[in-house]
Amino acid sequence: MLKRDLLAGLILLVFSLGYLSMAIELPQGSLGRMGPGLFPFGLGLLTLFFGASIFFKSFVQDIKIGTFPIRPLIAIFSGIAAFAILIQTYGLFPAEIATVFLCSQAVEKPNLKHILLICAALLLITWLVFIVLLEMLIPLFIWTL
Amino acid sequence: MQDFNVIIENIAIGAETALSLTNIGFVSLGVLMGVFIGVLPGLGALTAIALLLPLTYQMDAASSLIMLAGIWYGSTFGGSITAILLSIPGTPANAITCIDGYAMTRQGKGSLALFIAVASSFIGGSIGIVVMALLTEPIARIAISFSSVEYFSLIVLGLIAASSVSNSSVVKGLAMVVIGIQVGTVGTDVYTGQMRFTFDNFDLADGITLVSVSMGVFGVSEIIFTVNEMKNRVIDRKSIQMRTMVPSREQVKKITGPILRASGVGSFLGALPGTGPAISAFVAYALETRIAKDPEKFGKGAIEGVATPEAANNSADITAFIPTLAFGIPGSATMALMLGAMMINGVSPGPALITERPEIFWGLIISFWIGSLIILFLSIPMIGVWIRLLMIPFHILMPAILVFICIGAYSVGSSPMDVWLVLILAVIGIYARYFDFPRAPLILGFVLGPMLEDHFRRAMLISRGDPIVFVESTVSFMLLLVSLAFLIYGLYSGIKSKSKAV
Repeated sequence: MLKRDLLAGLILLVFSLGYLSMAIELPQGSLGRMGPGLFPFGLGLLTLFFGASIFFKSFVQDIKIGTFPIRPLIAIFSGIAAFAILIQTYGLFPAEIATVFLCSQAVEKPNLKHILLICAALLLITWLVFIVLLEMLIPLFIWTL
Repeated sequence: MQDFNVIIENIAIGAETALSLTNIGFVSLGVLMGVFIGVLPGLGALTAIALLLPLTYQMDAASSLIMLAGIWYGSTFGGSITAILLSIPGTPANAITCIDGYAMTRQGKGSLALFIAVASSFIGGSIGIVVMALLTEPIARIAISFSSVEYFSLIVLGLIAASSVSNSSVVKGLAMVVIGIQVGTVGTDVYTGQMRFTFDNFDLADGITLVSVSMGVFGVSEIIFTVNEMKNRVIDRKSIQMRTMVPSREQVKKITGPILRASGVGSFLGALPGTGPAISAFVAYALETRIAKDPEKFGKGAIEGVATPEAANNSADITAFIPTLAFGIPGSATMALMLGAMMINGVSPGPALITERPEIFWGLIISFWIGSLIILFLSIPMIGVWIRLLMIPFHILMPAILVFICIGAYSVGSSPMDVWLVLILAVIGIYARYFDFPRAPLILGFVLGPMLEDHFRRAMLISRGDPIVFVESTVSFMLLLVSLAFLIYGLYSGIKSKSKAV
């Protein structure tokens, strides 16, 4: 059975090692003339230490791991990713519609009527706020043939 | 008397800035949007400021700060609404308000509780404003004599204090602070121009924006965890009638003492590092239960139980600006975000701000006051609207909030990279949320990290690499000693609470 702090400590250790390996590549310098890598190197050692202490303390005391919201995670992450991909190739409105549809899948049995309603309201509000009021230069549609 | 005249003069400068028609408009808009976001579950003051930050880019520095202050005020009030009507604290600072506030709602006195919350917030805030107006300038005078050595130790104290006074374990809090500093190291090194942790990606050369960090770590990860938790929220509409809202003269008499005491407690604790509004509310409430003649009334819908924590957390909210403005070093995550917002708008807080840009400093002070007045006159009558908003199931609004997060991140630099960064940073937020790490210290680390590195490197340059300078300076030595005390206290209380649980 997976334990919470055991896993948390392990992830932090792996993260710290990755960070450290990149920090070491940078010029270190000396304390009197610090290079760009010395401060990050110290930070990496700190998280490595914290990760290790969380990891080893988990053998003394730990609790069972909770359930993970996997469905919302996939839905919302793909929604944000869709926005990042579509915004500069197809424009604001297509990006918004894709994000709303994908993010709505976070709940079981999403209601299509609600989604369409939110879409319509959102297109109107973002057009008013960002384009008309704040005069941001975001194209609403990009027609690529 | 000379000083008194100077203060009056300064207040006049501030009033001139804050009372211009556009700025009153901005503070009202900020308050309303703040309340709107504050009543949504899981989205507190931090998310509200992060979400609305992009709206302020086109304004001048004074107006944008004034609007941010309004947003922050409004979202805090939004947190009180959910605390009182639903027993869901919008921010940790509202947790104490839930106890007596929700009890009052169940007795059908919800609107009275809301009115008392707003009125005591207003009084607590006003007292905090007076304390801030009197103390910031003298403290800033001390700050001018600080060199990089003292600044480094002061930042260390702020970071350690903020991570060791939280509910989770100290090690987890410190880990989040350092991860925040690490996120801040991405980008170009200011001393050498060397790219660090950019994965050879040119979009990362300028570093990661505060908006991406706060929306990823707080907004997105919180939504992922709460979207399926709260579906139906039922509020008894009878408990919120307008008629029962105004307190009687007897009740006013009852809460005057507690409000004044709580404001004193809040003003004092708010200005210290680490002890923010949440702890102030808790301490003030504990104090009232000790000195009350009939302490058993607390927890059963006592009006003092609503007035005390709300007065305390609001005065603490205001005095938290003292270290932020005088030293340029925020004491809490919300303050860190405000500081970041100031820097984005071209204002660098610190001892020079008060003398060089008095209209910003005093304008901010006056607009705080106006912000709470606007809540009193604009938000209270709109209670019905807020409640209708509360009853919309969250999963319907959720996609719209996410779209705003995406647009907000994108609009910072018209770059899809900032949207991808929200996603990447959300992974850290999810890690923290899932494994029970506090997330506020990360923001503090992110904002203070570059300053910490800068002051450390400067101190090392001056001392030719000898770290002994940090204990040679008396001020720095004292600051580090206090940091150590915080650390030991945090570790000790962590062990104590664990052994109690077992």
